Amino acid sequence: MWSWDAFFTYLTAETLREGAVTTIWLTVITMALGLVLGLMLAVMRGTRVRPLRWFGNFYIWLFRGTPVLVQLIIIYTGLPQLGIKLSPIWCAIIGLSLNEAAYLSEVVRGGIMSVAKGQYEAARALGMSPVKVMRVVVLPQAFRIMIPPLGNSLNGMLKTTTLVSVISVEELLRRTQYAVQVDFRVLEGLVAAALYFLLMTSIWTLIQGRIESVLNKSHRAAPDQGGATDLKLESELEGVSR
Amino acid sequence: MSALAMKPKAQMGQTEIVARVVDVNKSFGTLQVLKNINLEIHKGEVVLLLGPSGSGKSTLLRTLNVLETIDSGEITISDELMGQRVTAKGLRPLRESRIAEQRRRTGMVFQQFNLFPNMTALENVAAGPIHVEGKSKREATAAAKELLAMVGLPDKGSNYPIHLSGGQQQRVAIARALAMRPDIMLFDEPTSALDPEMVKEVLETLVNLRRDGMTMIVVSHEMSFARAAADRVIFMDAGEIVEEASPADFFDNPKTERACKFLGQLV
Repeated sequence: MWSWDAFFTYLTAETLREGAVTTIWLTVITMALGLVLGLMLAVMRGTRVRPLRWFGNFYIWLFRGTPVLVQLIIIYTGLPQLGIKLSPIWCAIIGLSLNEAAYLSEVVRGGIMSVAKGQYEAARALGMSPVKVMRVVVLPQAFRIMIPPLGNSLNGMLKTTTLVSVISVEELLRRTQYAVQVDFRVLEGLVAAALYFLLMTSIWTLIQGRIESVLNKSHRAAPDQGGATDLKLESELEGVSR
Repeated sequence: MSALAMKPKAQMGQTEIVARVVDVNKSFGTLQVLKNINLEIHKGEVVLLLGPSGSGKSTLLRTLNVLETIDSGEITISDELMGQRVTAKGLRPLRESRIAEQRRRTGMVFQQFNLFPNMTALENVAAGPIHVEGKSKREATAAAKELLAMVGLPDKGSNYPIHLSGGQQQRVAIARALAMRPDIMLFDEPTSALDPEMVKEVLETLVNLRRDGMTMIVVSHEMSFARAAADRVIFMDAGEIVEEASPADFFDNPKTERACKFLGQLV
């Protein structure tokens, strides 16, 4: 039997709200760290220094080739065997960031590769040093291209954080599981949690749309001047992220 | 070299050499694209580089600002050896950051304009002075406004490139290169990507530049421009300079068979 009372009790429960807040900041932190690490990996894979390239390729092979759940459990329950003991939340941040970096490095690489060769040449011809070429000309353009796949990843991360419930981090799912153990209204509790996730991903979609429209102001073409090619490129890149 | 180091005054005109190319060779793999090129460009001179596609004219232009490196030879712009340094063991390549500094002496305009799409026209023109020379935003923007007026676009400063026509974009690109006050301007087929009705406005900009005394090398097939504004035509084929003459002599009395054949194919 479905109980609306129980459902609304869960929906307004402070414990679920707190869990949702944990989910949000865990998502933001792991995405930020993952992006920084991903940028470093992308640079490593683009250099002429072979050991760096090998490391970058090895890292991505390893982290994309194994389940993130297995990685999290290794960090949480495996590493103490080697004397490395970390709190659940640190295990979650480290595990999720390291894993996400492998995916985001591909997003970054795709973004950088999407910047036309002529842009590098124009910047170099003006006398910009390699660092300036990257910082002033390439990365701002790459970032615009990276927003859709990055947004896609953040949306995914909001939900992937539920995995850390198994290493006892009290995010939204774990809090819900605790809550339903009191009166065994499992269905109501989990549907309430699902609604929270739906709300979070919906809000993110709105935020992402705002960011895109701000960054796209330089590309909003008059109808007859193309711009369609840009859209095509972005949708192609979205496929890179997962 | 010591004679060159003393810069003659501008009014000596033809005697001052802005760009000097000595015995330059370059290959892409097994294909030799530049064969023993020798060339001198004088101050205020407008030189048209002509030749069939694959003749090496664009590559030669790009070696002048070291967008392409050379296998042997020397390129000097305003008495500075480009892209190389003299060591006890001969010439060695310079570091990229040092080459970046040298490139300020040259301005380049590309066939595809290559404006920065995330910047307005004004920001494009001010980009060099701000990010390369470290000028203040205010100073660079004021100078950029003047340059945009000079290329006939005084009211387009706040437009993004996508909101400009091809001809307008190319004129912004010219202003962007001029903002670094180069000693020589390099034009790589500046009108080839333009619709016919826009070619004129860009060529007029080049003619104005010539009037102001700018030294220019232009890779182009625009005969009318060549006749009206070029001081010299250099005809290249298969990586070699085949013929060098005044535009009138070259177009009306080409001396080599290869030039005749090439001109016969032009419309």
